[in-house]
Amino acid sequence: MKYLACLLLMLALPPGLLAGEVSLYYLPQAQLQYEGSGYRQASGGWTFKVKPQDPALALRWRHAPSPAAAWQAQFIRNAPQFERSVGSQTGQMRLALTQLMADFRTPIANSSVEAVLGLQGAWASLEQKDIMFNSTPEAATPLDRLRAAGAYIGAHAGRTHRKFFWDGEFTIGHYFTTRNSQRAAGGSITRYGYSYWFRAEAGYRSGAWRLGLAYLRGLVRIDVPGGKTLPTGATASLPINKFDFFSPAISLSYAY
Amino acid sequence: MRIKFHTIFLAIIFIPYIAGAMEVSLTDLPNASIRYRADGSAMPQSYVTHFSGESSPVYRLEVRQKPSADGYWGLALWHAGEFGGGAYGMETIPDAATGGTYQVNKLNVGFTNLFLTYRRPLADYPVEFLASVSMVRQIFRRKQFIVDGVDLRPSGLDDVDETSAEGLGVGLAGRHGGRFYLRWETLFNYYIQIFDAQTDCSAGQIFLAEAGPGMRLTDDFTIEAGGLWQYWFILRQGNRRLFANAATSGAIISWNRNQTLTSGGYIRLNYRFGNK
Repeated sequence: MKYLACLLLMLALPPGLLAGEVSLYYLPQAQLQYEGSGYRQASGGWTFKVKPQDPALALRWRHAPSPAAAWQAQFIRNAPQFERSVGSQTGQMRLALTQLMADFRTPIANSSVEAVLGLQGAWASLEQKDIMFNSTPEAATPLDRLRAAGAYIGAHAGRTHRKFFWDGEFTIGHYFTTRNSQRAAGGSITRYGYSYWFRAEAGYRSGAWRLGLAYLRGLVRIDVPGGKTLPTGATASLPINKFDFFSPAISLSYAY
Repeated sequence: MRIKFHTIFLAIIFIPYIAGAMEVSLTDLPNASIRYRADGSAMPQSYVTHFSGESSPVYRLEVRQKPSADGYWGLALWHAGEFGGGAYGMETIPDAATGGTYQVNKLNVGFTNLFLTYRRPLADYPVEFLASVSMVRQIFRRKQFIVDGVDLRPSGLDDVDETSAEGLGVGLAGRHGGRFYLRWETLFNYYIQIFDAQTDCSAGQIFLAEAGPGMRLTDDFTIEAGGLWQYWFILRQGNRRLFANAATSGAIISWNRNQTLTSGGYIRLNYRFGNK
């Protein structure tokens, strides 16, 4: 429902602002692999993983006021549910990842490729329950919220051949600032992070509409002062947080 | 036949002269700050290491083709470390199991990185788009160990530990002005490990930003001064130990997750060959 509201909000904007293209991506089984690791002492090291497969939605809005310049905004979000987490503590984890990207793009000389320069933000929430640590149940249900902001550079290319099209882009980003809610003292690596995102799609075009198959791949690493202890010795957060996101998708685009 | 370092250096300098129109630049950060942070499952003593940081010169020798609207290539060799005059800092590894300190040693963090970069101007802006491939190698030199209370300094025990990664990068660069100019460059690199993989070959990132004003002294020679900041995160096989003494569990010489920040002021000399 939230996604539908976002889409309706976009369509309700003045037509002048929407001169360009809006694309909606539905990812029916997006794989989001999380690995948290870092500062805590436990036999065998401290790491845990969760690999949910949930639906996800992406929205892309490209606005091109001239052939020399275009603006683009992208939004990606999964629909999280509790999944089993394994590692130095076991339990259930609900993992949500939201990525927002906004960029400027302009053609490279004598080329059909566009250079991309943008700003990005990532939000992740890690909610745990039914935690078992050293065979002891943990009553707490910690929620760690991660935030990161940074910049990225990339390249974009695409072409339309009569009734068919292809489009793709690749970006590499760095997070200059990172925050989390379940903070702990100590540790070593506690700030910065990086990302990359890749999208490839191809399909059929009819007038202003395009229907395609796409593949989205992303990696987000957010380093924070994590490692906060719960009463049983389990952890509510970890400093090194890696999210791998990949999925095929169905795309529907409309050019204004 | 033994080939000395200065022979290789001079050969690189004179290759562009022989080949025709090219540029050679030498960038030096005479007193860069290198701050290293790491953690990993070095059980049972610790999960983290603390490094005091070090001062080290950083060198970059770069050869570029003559700039062209259809694109041109550049090759840059970076080096920092003891070989280039880098100092040692103090590494301290706490003993989280019993309290106190498990290990103290001197550490020098260095690197030798090679970047092959393709540069092409943007169509409508005075900026270049960069695409690079690179091979990077980080080098950790340790000496003067005190491990679990046993002073191993008289034994002369030391160690060199290295890791490498291979990456792709994209970036932007610009140079604005005439005789007096401002140059800037930023490069985002993503790394995998083809030869030195952990279970996951995803290896990390180098993010680089540099900027500074410069002046053209002659038609072919420019001098520039500015600042550079480099972030480097690399995953690797950690928890390696060096046999130190039968009474100890060994000296910890590698970590799983490694972050190195390099920053400092630079001087850059640039000479253009074959411009006549």
